[in-house]
Order: sequence, then structure tokens, then C-alpha cells
Amino acid sequence: MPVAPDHYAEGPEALVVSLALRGDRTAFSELVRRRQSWIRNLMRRCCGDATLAEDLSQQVFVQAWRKMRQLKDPARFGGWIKRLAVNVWLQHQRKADPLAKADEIEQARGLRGDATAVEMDLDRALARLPSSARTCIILSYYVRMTHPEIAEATELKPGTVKSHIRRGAERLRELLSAYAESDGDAERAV
Amino acid sequence: MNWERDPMLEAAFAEAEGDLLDDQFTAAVMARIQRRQRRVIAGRIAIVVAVIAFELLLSAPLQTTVAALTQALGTALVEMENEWLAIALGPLNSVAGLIGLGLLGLQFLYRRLV
Repeated sequence: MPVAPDHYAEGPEALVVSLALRGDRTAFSELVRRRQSWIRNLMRRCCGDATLAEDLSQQVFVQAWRKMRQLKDPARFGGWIKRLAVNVWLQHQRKADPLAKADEIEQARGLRGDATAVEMDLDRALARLPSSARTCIILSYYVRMTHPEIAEATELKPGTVKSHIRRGAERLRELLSAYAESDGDAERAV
Repeated sequence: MNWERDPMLEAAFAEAEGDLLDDQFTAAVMARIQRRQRRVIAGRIAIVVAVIAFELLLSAPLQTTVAALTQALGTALVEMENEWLAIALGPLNSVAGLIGLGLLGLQFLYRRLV
């Protein structure tokens, strides 16, 4: 198992990226260590399937290693890899994938054992949204993309994106409130 | 365009962002990159081997074919006694010239029809 030496772990990201750009694998493994959490969370939220999410997250980093030379400014690595992750998800979704076509994921599968109640509630609620709305909501609230950026990335019309986000947010609020109430009832019963 | 985010959902997303730091994940990614690089190297070796094999097996027959084609394409359609006239009309008075003119004719017809 490659373990990044301390000097990599402590180095500023732009420097580590510069080293990775020169083909330094240890530097790249340090970048994987630093960025994995955000990307794995994104994939888990998007697909609601822990195994698939892990595979897609790994694909993101494999593609990042392959395309590193396209990165002109090492300081922009963070934004670059986030866009790459979003593209990997959208490409996966566009393929004839029954999971992506399903309006609802029956239930968020393979959730982590150490997931907090909020994480579980959010994942369960997201899994109940139609796939396009789920993607738009995640891109807006998690990736922090603007509506025009989401429209460009998803190839949806800006009006459609806006309506997916509005309706999706309403539904998500309802579901989260319902989960919070049921959690509260369960706690009182105990 | 108004795209303010819902504060309740923003809070939920912020609170749900668990830390998924895992050395096994890093190791799995690096192993995958290594496997991919091995495949790329194997692919490049296969291409080099294929080129060498092609060169060894087919270069002689190919050269013969090209030489025969070159000779056939340069064959004069009408024998001319005047050497200078034969050289001047060489590009037209040959199999290659005939094929060239035929192709030009076909292109002209195609443009007229389409």
C-alpha cells in the first residue's frame, strides 16, 4: 500500500500537483488521499450504491492521472478534479444504465456502517428523487454549481434545471422533515 | 436568474459531508493506475511486434506489387514515334492518365447530378 511520506502530506497542494504532473506517483497518491472524501461523497449521493460509487470514484482518479498534462495551472487542481468527477458521473448516467433510468433508487444501498443519521436521512431522501432532479440538486447543493453551469454540464435546458431544483428541493425538504419527525418519535419511544 | 439555495438543505448537505479518508481506497486507485499502465505498455509492445512481423513477412511482396503497379500505370496507351511528344503527352497518354481522367469525369457527373 503506497503511503505518502510526511513531506508530501504536509506540502501545499500546488506543489504536490506539480510533482504529480512530472509523473511522481507518490505525489499523486497524496492527492488521492486529500481529495477522495469529497469525490466519494459525491458519487455516493449521486448513485446511492456504495460499490458503484467506489468504482466511479476510482475511475475519476485514474482519469485524473491520465489527463494530468491537460491541467495548466496546478493551483486549479481542486476545481479541475471536481469537474472531472461530475463528468464521470454524467457520462455514467448517459450510458444505458438501468440505475440511471430508474426514477427512484429503491433505497440507498450499501450505506456505510459509520454514516451519521443526517447522512443516512439525506441519502435515503435523495434516493427517492427522480434521477434528473437528484443530479441537479446534488450539483447545486453539493458541487455548488450555478444553474447555467448545471444546464451546460447536464445538457438540459436552463428552465428544466430550475424546475428540477425547485421541485426536487421541495420534495427533499418534505422527506427530510418526515425522517426527522420519525427519528424524534423513535427516540421518545426509547 | 434567481438561484438562491434553500438554507435548510444547505445545512443538511453540509452536516452530511462525512470524512471518508481511507488508505485502502488510495491503494486501490494506485493499483488500478499501475494495471492500466501495464496494459498500455503491453499494447505498445504488441504494436511494435506487429509492425516488425508485417515488415518481415509482407515487405517483399508489397514492394513487388508496388513496382508492378508503377510499371502498369506508366504504360503508354498509344505508341508515339516522336520522343519529345511522347514525354509531353506522357501524363495523359498512360493508364494512370486514363484512370485520372475517368475519376475527374465521374466527379463532374456527380456534381451535375447532386
